[in-house]
Amino acid sequence: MSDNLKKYWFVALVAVIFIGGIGYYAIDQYNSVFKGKNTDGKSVVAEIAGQDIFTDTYYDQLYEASGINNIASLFEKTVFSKMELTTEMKEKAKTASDNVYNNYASQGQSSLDTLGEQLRQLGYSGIDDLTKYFEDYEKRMELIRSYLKENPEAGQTFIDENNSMIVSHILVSSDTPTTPTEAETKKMNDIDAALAAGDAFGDVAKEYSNDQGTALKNGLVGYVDKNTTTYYKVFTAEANKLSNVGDTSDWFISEAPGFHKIYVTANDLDSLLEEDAFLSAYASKNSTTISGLVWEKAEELGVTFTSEDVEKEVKEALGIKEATE
Amino acid sequence: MKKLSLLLLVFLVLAGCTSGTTSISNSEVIFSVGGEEVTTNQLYETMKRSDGGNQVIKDAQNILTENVELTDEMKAEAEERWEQVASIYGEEFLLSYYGYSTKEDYMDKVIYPELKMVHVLEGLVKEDMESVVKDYNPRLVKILNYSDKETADSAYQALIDGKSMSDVVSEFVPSSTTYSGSESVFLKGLDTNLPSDINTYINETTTPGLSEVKEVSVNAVPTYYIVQVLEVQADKFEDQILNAILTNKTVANKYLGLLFRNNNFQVYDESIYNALQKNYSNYFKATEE
Repeated sequence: MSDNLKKYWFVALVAVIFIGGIGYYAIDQYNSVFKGKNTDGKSVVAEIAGQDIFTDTYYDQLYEASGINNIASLFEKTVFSKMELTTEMKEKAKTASDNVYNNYASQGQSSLDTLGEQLRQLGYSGIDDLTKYFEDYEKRMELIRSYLKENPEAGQTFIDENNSMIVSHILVSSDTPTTPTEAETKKMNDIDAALAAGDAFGDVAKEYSNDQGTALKNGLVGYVDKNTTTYYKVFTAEANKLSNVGDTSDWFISEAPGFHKIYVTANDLDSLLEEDAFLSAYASKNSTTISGLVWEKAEELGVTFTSEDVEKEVKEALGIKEATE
Repeated sequence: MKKLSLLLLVFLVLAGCTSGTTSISNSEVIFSVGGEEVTTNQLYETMKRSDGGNQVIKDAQNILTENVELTDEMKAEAEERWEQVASIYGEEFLLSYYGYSTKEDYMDKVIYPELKMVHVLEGLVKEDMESVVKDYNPRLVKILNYSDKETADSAYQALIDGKSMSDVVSEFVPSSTTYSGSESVFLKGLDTNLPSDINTYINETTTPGLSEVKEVSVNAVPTYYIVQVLEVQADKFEDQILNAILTNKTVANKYLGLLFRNNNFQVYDESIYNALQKNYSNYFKATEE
C-alpha cells in the first residue's frame, strides 16, 4: 500500500482533490436546493406560527374554487396535444410566439413577467410554454376551419351578420392631414387617376402607399369586421361602410397619421377561412360551438372520465348540452 | 477508496434529487383522451400555477387570526361592509361571479377574515407605535384648499374670528373635495397629493394651531391652503392613527409582512415560493426589510 502510494502519489493527490471537489459541490447543492416538508407522511405546502398547511387541504380548496374549470382547461389541452401538428401550424406558432416574445421583451422584464403570469392563469407553465400556447391556438383554429368547411352556411351567416371581409389600403402620409400639402394632394389625385384607369388596387398600393409594411403585400391589411378593435376606430368604421369585393372608400383621415383609402379584397368564406383573425372572431362569438368541437374531437380520439359527476360538470363548464336534453 | 467514492456519488445524486415540489397524497386518474391519462396531481399543478400562492396566503392569514373572536362591533361592521359591496355589485352577481353560495358564505370567507386580520394588525401596530411616530410623524389635521386668494383670506379670517371649521366650510366652500376641512390623519411621506411645502409645514409643526394662508403654485397656477393642526401627540389620537395606517396599502402591507415574518412563514413548494416573490417577498424572513 505504502509502496503504491509512493509510486502513485500524484494520482492519489489528484483523486483527493477530485473527491474533495465532489463533496463540496454536493454540500453546496444540498444547501441551495428548495427543501420540501412532510408531517406524518403528508406533504406540507407551507407553515406559519408552527402550524402546517397540508397540500391535500390546499388542493381541496383550489378544487372547490376552480377545479372544474381547470379540468375543462386541461381537457382541451389534452385534446390539442393528441391532434396532429402540421409543419405549417408549427411554423405559424413559432412565428407568433417569437413576435409576441420580442414585443414583450422590448418593454422590459416586468412585461415578460406579466406575460408569464397570463400564461400561468391559462394553465400553462409560464413563458417557456408560449410556443405551446400558440400551437394549441393553431389547433383550435384548425378545428374551427374544418367545421366551417363542413358547415359553410354557419360561416356565411357569420360573414353576413358581421360584415366580415379582407381589406387592403393605401396610405398617403401627412404631418398635417387637415390641410394636405400640394404634393400630398397631387399624390392622392394620381392614385385616384390610376384606379379610375383600371389599375389593380394592389399594384397602385405597391407603387404609391407610404405604409411600407402593407405596400409590399399589395396593400393587404387583413381581416376586419364590425367588431374589430385591432385597428384605429376610424379605420374600422370606414371599412365597415364597405361590404362588396371591389368597394373602395373615399379618402379619409386617420390617426396613422395621413390619408387612407380602403379596398375590399375578399369576403368569401374560402378566402376568410385562411385568415386566423376571422376564425378567432368566429370562435369568440361561438364559444360553446367550439367547445362542442373539442368534445367531438375527444370522442373521436376516445375519451373516458373516471367520475360521471365530474364529466357532467366539465360539460356544463364547457357549455356542452347532452343530446338527450 | 472505492467505498468513499461511491458514498460521495450517492450523496451527490441525492442532493440533486431533493425537490421543493409538493404533491397530493392519492393521485387518481380524472380522465383520459386518446389513451393519455390526466391525474389529480396534474390538476393540482395546473391549479397551483393559476392560484399563484394566493390561497396559501389566505390559509396562513386564517391561522394567524383563528383565535380572534368576532365581537358584536365587528359583526356590525361586517354587515355594513356587506351592504356597501352588495349595493355596488348587486347581491346575486357578487355571489355567483365569485362563487359564494350565500351571503353568510361570503361573510365567512371574505369579510370576517379581513376584519380579524385588521384586529391582529392593530395589535401589532400598537406595539410598534414608537416606530410609527418616528417614521410617519402623525398629525391630526384639517386642511382647506382654495383656488382664489380672496376666498382663502376670508375663510382664514373667519377661523381667526372663532368660527367653527364646519361653519367656515359652509360659508366659504373649498375648491378641493380632498382638502375640504374634514378631520384626517397626516402621515409623513404618504400623502402624495399634498404639495411639498404643505407637507413640510405639517411635519415641522410641533404644537396645535392654525397656519396662515399658504400660497402654493402647482404647474404655475397658484392655489391656497389653510392648515389647522389639531393634535401632535400620538397617544391622544391613537385609534385614528391605527385606522390611517391600516387603510394605507403600503403601510398595511409592511405590517402584514412583519406579522408573517414574526410567525416564521415558510413555503415548501418552490413554484409557489417563486410566485409569491412578486407581491409578497417581504413576508419571508430571507428578504426582511
